[in-house]
Amino acid sequence: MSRLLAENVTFAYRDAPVVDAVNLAIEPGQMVALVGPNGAGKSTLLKLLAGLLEPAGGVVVFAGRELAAWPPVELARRLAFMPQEVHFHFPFTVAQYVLMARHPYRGWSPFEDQNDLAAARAALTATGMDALAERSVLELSGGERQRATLAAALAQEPAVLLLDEPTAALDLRFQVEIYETLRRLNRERDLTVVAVTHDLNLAARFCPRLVLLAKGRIVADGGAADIFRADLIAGHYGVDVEVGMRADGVTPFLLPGVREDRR
Amino acid sequence: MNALTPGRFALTLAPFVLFFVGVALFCPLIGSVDIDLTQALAHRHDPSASLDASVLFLTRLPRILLAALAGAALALAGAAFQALLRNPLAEPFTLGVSSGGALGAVLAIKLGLDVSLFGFSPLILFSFAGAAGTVGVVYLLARTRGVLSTSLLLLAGVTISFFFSALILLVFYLSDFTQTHRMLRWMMGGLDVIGYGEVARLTPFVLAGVVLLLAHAGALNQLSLGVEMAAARGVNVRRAQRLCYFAASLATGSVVALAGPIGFVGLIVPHTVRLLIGADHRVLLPASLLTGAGFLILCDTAARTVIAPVEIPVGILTAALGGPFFIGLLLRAKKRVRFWD
Repeated sequence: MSRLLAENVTFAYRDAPVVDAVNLAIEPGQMVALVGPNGAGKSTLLKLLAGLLEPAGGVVVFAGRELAAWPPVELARRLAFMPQEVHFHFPFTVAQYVLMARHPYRGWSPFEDQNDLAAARAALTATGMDALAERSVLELSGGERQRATLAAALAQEPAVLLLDEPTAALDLRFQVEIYETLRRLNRERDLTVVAVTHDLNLAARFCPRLVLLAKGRIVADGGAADIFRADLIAGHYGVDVEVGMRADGVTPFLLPGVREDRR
Repeated sequence: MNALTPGRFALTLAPFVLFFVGVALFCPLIGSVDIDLTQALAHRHDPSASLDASVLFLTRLPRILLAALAGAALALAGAAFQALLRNPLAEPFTLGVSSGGALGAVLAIKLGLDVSLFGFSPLILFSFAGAAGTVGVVYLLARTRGVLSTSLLLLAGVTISFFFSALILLVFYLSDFTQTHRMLRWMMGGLDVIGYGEVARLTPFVLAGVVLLLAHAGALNQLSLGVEMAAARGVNVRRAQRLCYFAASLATGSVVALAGPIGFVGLIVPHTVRLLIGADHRVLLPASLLTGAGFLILCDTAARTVIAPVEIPVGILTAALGGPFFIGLLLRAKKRVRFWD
């Protein structure tokens, strides 16, 4: 159905490929973390999956149809993208900002209807932003901005949500809250989630599937247990790690640089 | 939380409509000559037969229409450029439209050309060509893979402005006193027209720009958040950027060609309106249009009355009023808003 598929996708900014012949299938209802060291091509791959960049080679297919062949508005109703950071220059209220995400549903009408309002309200509640709805986006803290942008992405009511480091600016509590929200929507509404993140432990805790990228290629793909191998992490991140297991016996965790011989 | 419904839209715009209609009805009655309105209206079909009617219908009304048209176009284009460039300090002349137009105008005066096309004088033709040429060059310089880069637009526009300013000074230097006086007078901006010819010829250009920009209000909201965000919401970024850029430039360029570079309207009107009703371009654009029209009518009425019978060029007045006002606005905004990042 709404499967998101990268087939032999390549992308280069100058000459060196940033994403190199990647094959990746995101099944409907999956929650996937894209992890990997800086410069691995995670954000570029995410933008290729979102149709924001055109692959130099290969194709990205969504629901059986090549991304480039989708009418932009039709695609935007199914696929939402949350960038790493949005720079605000004008005093929109949070409510206006979230309602703006309803753009793909409005057609030529400049006005919003009850559906738009309901979607925006639900999105504000899901991200805990109700109380700040009438605040100007220029006055928000980094974490509030991030949550407002997530609310906007949710108000777009997509089937697939692609997020570029959604918790980068957030403290521990909001990191967990955002991932809990995403996991809940993933379970309750079958929202497909693909998140680029540097936080491996958070990814392991909330995402059943992790995809490890290095130098533009997928080097590992599976559950946290498949990714959290000291040799794999050391090889690609260049840092020694200790892998532990949470009390539940299922979720591993990672501590960097604590091996005796590092001293 | 309030959605933008037709009712709310009308309610938000109502005060701006009232302001514009009030100004447009009141200002024709003011001037260095007192007119008898009943006399004037009685001769409305043959205004030249009565002094009152000819002052009202042949002198003041065309001028007020031109002021309304120019003010509306400049304020709307200013709001659009601010969104396109994602920079609240942008205005219609930021990208060099006015210096291109000015270069064309001073060349026309220097060369003393005497050709006209479709009823347009060489001065108008040359300054429009200068403005249009600048718009095209800046567009080509700033385009990468079909998408306009805001920083490239700013760099290209500002550089072209400086380059043209140098050329304008060179033409000045090579001109005699009569010519430089005419050039300077042109650059101060003015709305002193007689009759409806210019107004009628300007209207289609401004109207085309206005319709295109108003139709893209929703897209401008998205573009103000960045190209990526807009694309992810289904906006055809290349087309929207191109149409808005050329629509705003067309409106600006045609006003510059006819009335000279009237500064500050395009900067302070969108800002003031944003302070009053917020940043949503679906209401900001029409409200700026109405406010710009009313504001320029007011300025022009002041320009032709404060030291009557001598007229102050309206461009001096808008900048003289606009400058201090805008500095006050900046000082206020500095306290609560991060201006740049």
